[in-house]
Amino acid sequence: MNTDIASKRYKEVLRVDVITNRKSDFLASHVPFKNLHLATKLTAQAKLSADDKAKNFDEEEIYGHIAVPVPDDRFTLVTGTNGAGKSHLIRWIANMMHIRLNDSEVVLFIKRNDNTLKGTIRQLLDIPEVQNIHDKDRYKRLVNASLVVSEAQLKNKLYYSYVTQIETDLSKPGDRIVKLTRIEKKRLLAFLQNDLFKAYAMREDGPIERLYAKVAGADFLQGNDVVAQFVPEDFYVTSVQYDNMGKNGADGKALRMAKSLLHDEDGMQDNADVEELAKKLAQYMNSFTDDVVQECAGLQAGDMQQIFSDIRKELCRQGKNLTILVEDITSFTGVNSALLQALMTPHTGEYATEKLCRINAIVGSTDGYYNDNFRDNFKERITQFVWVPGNIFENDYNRLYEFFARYLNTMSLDGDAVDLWARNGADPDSYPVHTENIGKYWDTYPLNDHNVSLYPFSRHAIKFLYDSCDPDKKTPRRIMQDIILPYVEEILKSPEQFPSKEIKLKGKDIQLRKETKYLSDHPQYKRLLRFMTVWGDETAQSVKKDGIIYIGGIAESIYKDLELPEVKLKNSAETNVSHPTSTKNPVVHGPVSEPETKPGTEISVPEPVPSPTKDSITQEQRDRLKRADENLSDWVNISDYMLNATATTQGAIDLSNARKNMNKFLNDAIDWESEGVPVDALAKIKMAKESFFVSFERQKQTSRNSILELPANTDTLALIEAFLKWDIWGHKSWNYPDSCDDLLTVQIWLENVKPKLIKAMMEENGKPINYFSYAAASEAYRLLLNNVPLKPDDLNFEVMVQGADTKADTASMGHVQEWKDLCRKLNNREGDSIRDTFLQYYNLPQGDKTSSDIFILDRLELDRALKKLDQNNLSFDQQDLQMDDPVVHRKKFSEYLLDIRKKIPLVVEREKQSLKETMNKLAQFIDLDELEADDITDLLDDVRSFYGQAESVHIPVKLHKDSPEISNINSIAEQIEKAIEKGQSALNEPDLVSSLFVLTYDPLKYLTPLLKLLTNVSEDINQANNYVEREKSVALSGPAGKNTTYVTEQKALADCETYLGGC
Amino acid sequence: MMLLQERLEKSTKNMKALDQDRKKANDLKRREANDKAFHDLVFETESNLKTYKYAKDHFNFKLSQNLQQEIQDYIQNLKNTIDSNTSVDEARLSGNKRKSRNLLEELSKQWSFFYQENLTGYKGSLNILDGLGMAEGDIGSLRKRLESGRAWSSLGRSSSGTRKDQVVVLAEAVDKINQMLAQLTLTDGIKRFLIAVSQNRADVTSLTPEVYDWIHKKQISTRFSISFKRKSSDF
Repeated sequence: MNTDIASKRYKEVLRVDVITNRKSDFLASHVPFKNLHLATKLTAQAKLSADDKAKNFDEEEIYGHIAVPVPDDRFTLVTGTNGAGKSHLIRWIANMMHIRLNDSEVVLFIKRNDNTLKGTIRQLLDIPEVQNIHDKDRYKRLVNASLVVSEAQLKNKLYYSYVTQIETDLSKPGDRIVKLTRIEKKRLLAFLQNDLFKAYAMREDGPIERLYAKVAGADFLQGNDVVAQFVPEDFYVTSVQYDNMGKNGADGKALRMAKSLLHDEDGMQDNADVEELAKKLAQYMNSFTDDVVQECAGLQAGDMQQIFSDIRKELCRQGKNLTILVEDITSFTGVNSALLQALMTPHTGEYATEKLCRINAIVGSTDGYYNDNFRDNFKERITQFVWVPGNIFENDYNRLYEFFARYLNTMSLDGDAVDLWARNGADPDSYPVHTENIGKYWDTYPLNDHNVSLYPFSRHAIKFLYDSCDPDKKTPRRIMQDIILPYVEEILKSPEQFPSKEIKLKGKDIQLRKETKYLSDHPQYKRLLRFMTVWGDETAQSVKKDGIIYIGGIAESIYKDLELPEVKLKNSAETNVSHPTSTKNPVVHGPVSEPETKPGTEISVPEPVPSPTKDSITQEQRDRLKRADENLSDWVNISDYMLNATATTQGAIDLSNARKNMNKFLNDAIDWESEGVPVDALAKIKMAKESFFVSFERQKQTSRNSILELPANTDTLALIEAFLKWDIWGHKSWNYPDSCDDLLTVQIWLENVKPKLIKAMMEENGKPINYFSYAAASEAYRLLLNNVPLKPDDLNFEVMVQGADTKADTASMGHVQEWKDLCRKLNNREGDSIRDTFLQYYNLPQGDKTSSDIFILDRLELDRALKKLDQNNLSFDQQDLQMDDPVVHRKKFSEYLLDIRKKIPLVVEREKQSLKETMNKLAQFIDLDELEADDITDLLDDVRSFYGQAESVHIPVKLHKDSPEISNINSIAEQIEKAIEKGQSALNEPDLVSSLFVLTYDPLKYLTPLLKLLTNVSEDINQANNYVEREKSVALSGPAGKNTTYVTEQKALADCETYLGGC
Repeated sequence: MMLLQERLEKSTKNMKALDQDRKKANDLKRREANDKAFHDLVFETESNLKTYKYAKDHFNFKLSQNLQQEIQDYIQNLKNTIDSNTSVDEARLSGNKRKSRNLLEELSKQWSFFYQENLTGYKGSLNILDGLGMAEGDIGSLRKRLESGRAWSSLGRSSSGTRKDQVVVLAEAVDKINQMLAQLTLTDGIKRFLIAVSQNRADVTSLTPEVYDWIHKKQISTRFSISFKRKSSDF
């Protein structure tokens, strides 16, 4: 490498978007394509047929098929996955056409980085041959017209243009590729009109911003493969978003759509339906994109086709033909359909009269885009397909090395020198090679007659790093982006940290680790191991060649240059080894070799696995150990690697077993009783089925269940390996070759870890374990909530022990619902288990039983423990509860008590609140101060008298003088007197636990029915009073009694006598 | 704020007072009802006796001595029903109601007998007057008035609001018929003939020369017709 040049040039040479770099750099770094495919049609699944797949073409052959001019119109679709090299191939063809064809063929390459609507038209108008086309001024005005609206306005316009399109589709359904039901359309419409979703869609990097870039020509998205369209993920709704929509009063239809799109990011729930719907919505929205973008850009549908038509007429007039190469049709959002239509318009047949020139179109597209967006009539008009496979380096490591070599060489070449070479026809024989100022003794790759330095890589590193990539990241673009760029950047800027990035070493460092154990405490040890494993040959073997010492296949001086720890020489000898950089053949160091490459060294490489001296160990057993070792190696080397010891794969099962065996070994090997560990305390540890003593750092799932976590380091690795061998090789014995070393390792570890374990079992965070107190306190709370009057500051032995089976019937309680709920919760099975521990802890074990139904309690110890507990008045703060106790079966007491402690304030508060309300209401009816049972009896007499009178005057009231409600209160008059006293006491008690104790009397049980009765009586009094008043007023307004004298009647009778008397 | 016990006591007291008030109100209502019933009974009696006085004056209708005594006793009883001029004796009132019904019944019977004996003959006179074509327009009205006086209950002042008692109307109708009969100046033979015709008893032998001449003279021959006498078996 020439660092002076490379430090300036590496970024422009390695630009991910190949189109933006120099033409000369492009040619200098170009590695010929070999395994391309050509087909005239694809299968129904848009794949190559088996026959087409079987035939490979190199780039020159492809050139002959698609670029050499023919009289007919032609449309070639170059397809393949993202980053496979489609753009690279198209650009190479474009360059070759420029070099090889004469002026009668106008070659236009439409760059991806100018693929906005206006950028595309601008490129077309820049063709020299079309400077005089018809209407050019109008087109130019169109291109140059600046958008007068602001970014926010344009984004809004885009967004609402979609809404309008859907509204139109709802009223006049169009012929869309993706069809939604009417209900789905309505819900989608409401969803889009929701402010929260709109803000989300218009966020940075959101779909509207992607579209905006295409319409406005904004440059922040240029140069990548992001397609300006909706993707399913744009529609995923999180539970938080859904809740917010609900809180903000979202439309019902919008909410229903949001609910259908709830996507569980943790993958705990099946997302298949959501993903299917989101995909459908994205496709549906995208079907409007062309119309939306054109509308917002001020273009009309026919503009693009008209421009093309005018250009082709002009070229036809000049007797020329057009070859147009489109790097990536997917990025021509808004015009891709119009562009395809224009490119597929033939110059013969019905169009012959229009005098268009012949057109040869070579268009790049991802296979996904072809599947989703090409209409059938477009597909039918494709002349041929060129398929660029995604993984062009698979099984062709030489080509991979050449790829690295050309890029590394180009970035170290002066730009002018590369330009000169390109201008002179880019003759391979005169391919320039840089002059290196660093990288002596580094690996090389032969190009023509030159050995091009691979600094800062070795072929072993290239292969190792390439093999480590995910399959979908093995494309040229990702290799440049993920491998070449970061390592080149690091070696140029921070060689003393090179290679700093952690790499999964897949167990290939196990042997090396043993050989270099003396360096394991060195701060740079991990980097050294990484370098020797990946860059070197995975050994610490040293050889001397031509006076140069190579350690693990890497020159000793390189270690010094990179400031790596000094490795002791091993097997140092003068050999006939050819130096890696001096050989003409490609050299791959280490134990891995490829069929097409021959190792150019004679370095002796040790076996990666220690060789047992006896044949008793089978290959299968060795392989199992090797697989486990690979896992452990990554665990030690990669700081965020999670160790899988969860009984899923054989390797994980072996590691899981190793952990179990370690735990069992500790359990058996330590005499716990003599070490002062109580039986119950040990039982609590043993109750955990998985790791009860030890677990591994960064261990999946169960690491928190242990009391001791083993760190990811070389010592632990050796210890685990010893237990693996004990299990796999020795069949659960130390009876296997060379087991003495492992046994010693284990014994030393045992003595080392024992005091830590015992301490950890009896202490938590430096304090004695206290779970009995938590269990006793929990039981005390349970009894209190069951109305057992247990004094919290004087926990009575008899009450605590004998009341253990007390479970009150909550239905007969007068407490508030929160009290009853908590009481029921504490009376359930978990509460039983807590109570059992309270009883068992000081139960003197009889024989070897760890628990019994017959209790012989250590009264003295239990009293002492209770005394200690009641000093606390049952109050524990969270920090007193040993919440970080790693022993799950001890910690549950902390969690249980914490849960109770969290709930108790609410329970007491609600109980007091209810009590206060009840007593306040009662105070409106009776004088609660110094109220005695006799007072209540007197009151009830008056109540009866009232109802008797009401009955006699026929006033309708709720009760009668013999109602059971009245006699019931009469029967509990004394309890009511006490309840009032307790209630007043509870309301005046500031302490939570003391309040709880007072409230065990359950004042509400007596006061609530009293209040109910008095409330009814009060209402009946009102009823009676109203009735009396009403009747009184009626009586007053009625006729007054008359003072009758019967004068008229007496006169009439006198007349009667007169009438009769005359007879 | 008044506590419950105090409210209970007060409310109970109020209900007791209400009980008392209700009893008083009931007494008052009953007295008013008795007064009204007494009033109605007295004025019903007064009305009947007033009618009686008219009938006596116009038709010389006289009650039996016995009935008159009973009515006299009844009136005295009614007077006794008023207790010290302050209230009506409810028990006496009830007895007088029954007595009133009995007396009215007897009165109606005696009138009915009187009517049959003294006033039904005016119906035949109306028929002759009608047959002779005299006072043609009044015959229907007179017959209706005559008929309506048959029952005692219809002799009082009409409920339709006419100012005259029906007994007066009846007396006026009888006077009118008498006047019309006086205007006829008929011989005895003519009178017999007309009575026989009006009673469907006239035969050919009744048509005496005197009668025949009187018919011609009066030019009323078209008023008479001859027909076969019905046999008893025709019924």
